[in-house]
Amino acid sequence: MIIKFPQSLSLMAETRYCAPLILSLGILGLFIWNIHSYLGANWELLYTKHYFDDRYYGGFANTVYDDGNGLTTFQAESVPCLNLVVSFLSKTGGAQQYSQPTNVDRIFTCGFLPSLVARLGFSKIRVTESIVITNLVFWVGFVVLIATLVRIWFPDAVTILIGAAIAAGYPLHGLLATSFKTELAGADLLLAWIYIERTAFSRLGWIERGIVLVAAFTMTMLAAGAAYFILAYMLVLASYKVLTEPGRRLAALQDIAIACGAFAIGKALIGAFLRRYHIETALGVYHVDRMLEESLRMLWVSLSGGDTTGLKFLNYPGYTYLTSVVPWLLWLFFQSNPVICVVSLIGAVMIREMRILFFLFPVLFLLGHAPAAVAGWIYYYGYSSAPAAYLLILATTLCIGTLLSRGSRLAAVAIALGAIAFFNINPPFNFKNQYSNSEFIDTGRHLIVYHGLSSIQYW
Amino acid sequence: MSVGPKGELIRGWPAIPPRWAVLASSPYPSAAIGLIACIAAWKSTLNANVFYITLLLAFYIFLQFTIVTAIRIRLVLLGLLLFFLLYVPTPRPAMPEVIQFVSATEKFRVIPPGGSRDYRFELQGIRDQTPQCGTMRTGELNIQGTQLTGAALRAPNVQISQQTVSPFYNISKLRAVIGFPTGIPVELNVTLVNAGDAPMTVKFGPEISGKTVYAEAAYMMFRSAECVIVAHSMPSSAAQ
Repeated sequence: MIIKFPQSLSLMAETRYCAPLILSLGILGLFIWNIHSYLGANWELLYTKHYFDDRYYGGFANTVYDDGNGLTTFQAESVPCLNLVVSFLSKTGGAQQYSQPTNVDRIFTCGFLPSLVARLGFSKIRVTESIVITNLVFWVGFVVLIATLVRIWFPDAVTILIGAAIAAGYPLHGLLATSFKTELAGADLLLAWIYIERTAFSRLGWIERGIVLVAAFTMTMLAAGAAYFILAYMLVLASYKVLTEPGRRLAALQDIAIACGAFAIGKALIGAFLRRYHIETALGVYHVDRMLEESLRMLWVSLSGGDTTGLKFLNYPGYTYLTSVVPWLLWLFFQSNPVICVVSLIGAVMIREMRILFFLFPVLFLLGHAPAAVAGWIYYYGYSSAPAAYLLILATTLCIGTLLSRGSRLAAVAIALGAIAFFNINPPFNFKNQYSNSEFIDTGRHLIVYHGLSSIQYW
Repeated sequence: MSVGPKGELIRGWPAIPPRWAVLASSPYPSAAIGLIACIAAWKSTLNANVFYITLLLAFYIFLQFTIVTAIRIRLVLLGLLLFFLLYVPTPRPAMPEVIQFVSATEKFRVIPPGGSRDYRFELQGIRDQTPQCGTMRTGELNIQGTQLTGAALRAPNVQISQQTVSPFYNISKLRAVIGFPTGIPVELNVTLVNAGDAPMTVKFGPEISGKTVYAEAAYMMFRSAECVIVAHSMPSSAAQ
């Protein structure tokens, strides 16, 4: 059975004010619950504590700062962001302006954007606070973006607010709120782009589209992977149109050409700055060109029936990336997000407009986890799955909207409550499964850490 | 176009001539003005941070072409561009003061051959956890560093056993089980002696609690069916 999105939403009028009011209060409650659950502990720093792990880096806490309110420990990867904010606050532009940061891929989100926040603070906001505020803005922005995207298909308040409620409870923003690395921002910017693409982009001419895309890619080239997510989204969307809409084939091909051209310009522009400041990206550090070359050689030898012993595909021996690593990542993702996975899968099968998920989800999922493949490591970070998870949150809300419009209120409420409850009911579970999925983090037992006589009980 | 009822930009002001209004409703003039402002700021060194200017201009142009359609908002956006272009807070936003920095060359505390290092653990709190966690008779000492195979551990009134050294990330971890036959004491002092021929090191992995820095990665873990308890060694200044 194929279901179409409804054209009329008269059913929604019956809900009037009661449901929106309850949902609005629920969203507020979810924000408070998340802040209560996660703020006060730097969960990212906690994850790297040496007593958790026998394989990862130990004692990764790098620098102890006094921010005036007390001591704070920073990871090595967080410190460069502080320096980046200061660099962007400078009015000079010498070749030594920007030192090589560990997290080059986040210069825009953990340096540039916080520098705007710091300017708006008129000296009242500390550098560290400017980054945390940026994280919080991204958190609120994510909720608003989900709501505004849902509004494109379902303009009724109930569906919009259900989408906002699921988004408000998505635990990664709370877990990463006091992180100084802004890893989630790439997925947030992708969502912002999807909104632009669905609303403003189609009314632009070809030249304007080119200008917008060059600006977008220039901004997001060093924004936690956002440019790559946006490019992938555009290419998948346009390719899907080429395959399914013969009447719009030419326009879709033009979109592909413009997107690729704009990406190349943005990359060249940002590349020039990186060379000027002698900054090397992770792609260079990990020799991605060599990785791709070896992967292609592996494919060629494999297809021609040769001996592939000792060869690697995407930095992993043989085809273990496809046979072991990806299934492992998908299983961990499913464990953390079962409700939105199941509902979206059913929705994609049943609802014609959602079938593009079968193409978009794998591409964004693999792209989000690409840093692990590039480095050849085996680790799972929840934020790497965020671009794909955001899509599924949106898809789940659209499924709920479809159910509501067809009068299946019980099923819609059950899905909404299930998604919200699963994201919020157990903060330690979220730390373990949503964020890190490390088996050695034992959330089945209380974790108490003593420094002298003072102690912290994390769960 | 969002202008007043008589075509004015701000209510009560003279109306905008229609040609200007049409021109202003396009993103191109605003984008061009922004571009000129950025180049002028850069050339005049009012703001010569060209990386910052480029990202700011890209952000501005993106917004002008996508989400902004009203003239008033275009002007507000232009005002914001000029503000972000020219304004830097004075004094600069405060950077936190560095208390301890672990640089690439100072990641370890060195213990020369024949030397030793004392670690003190305050365990009163762990005794107090008995109602929640149950009774614990052993703890595991963990020390991270290098050349730890030459380590000898000394501690009074406890049993030290199962001392091992295993690879840990790119360094090593020394583990030893410490038994407390008469129960967990209020305080435990452990001496790490370098009985080998090569300098031994202990990794810095700063922990904090209140105003105190716990610099070295030397800690104990206590496990029961209900709890995992970590106790950090006291700071070196207090331990020596």
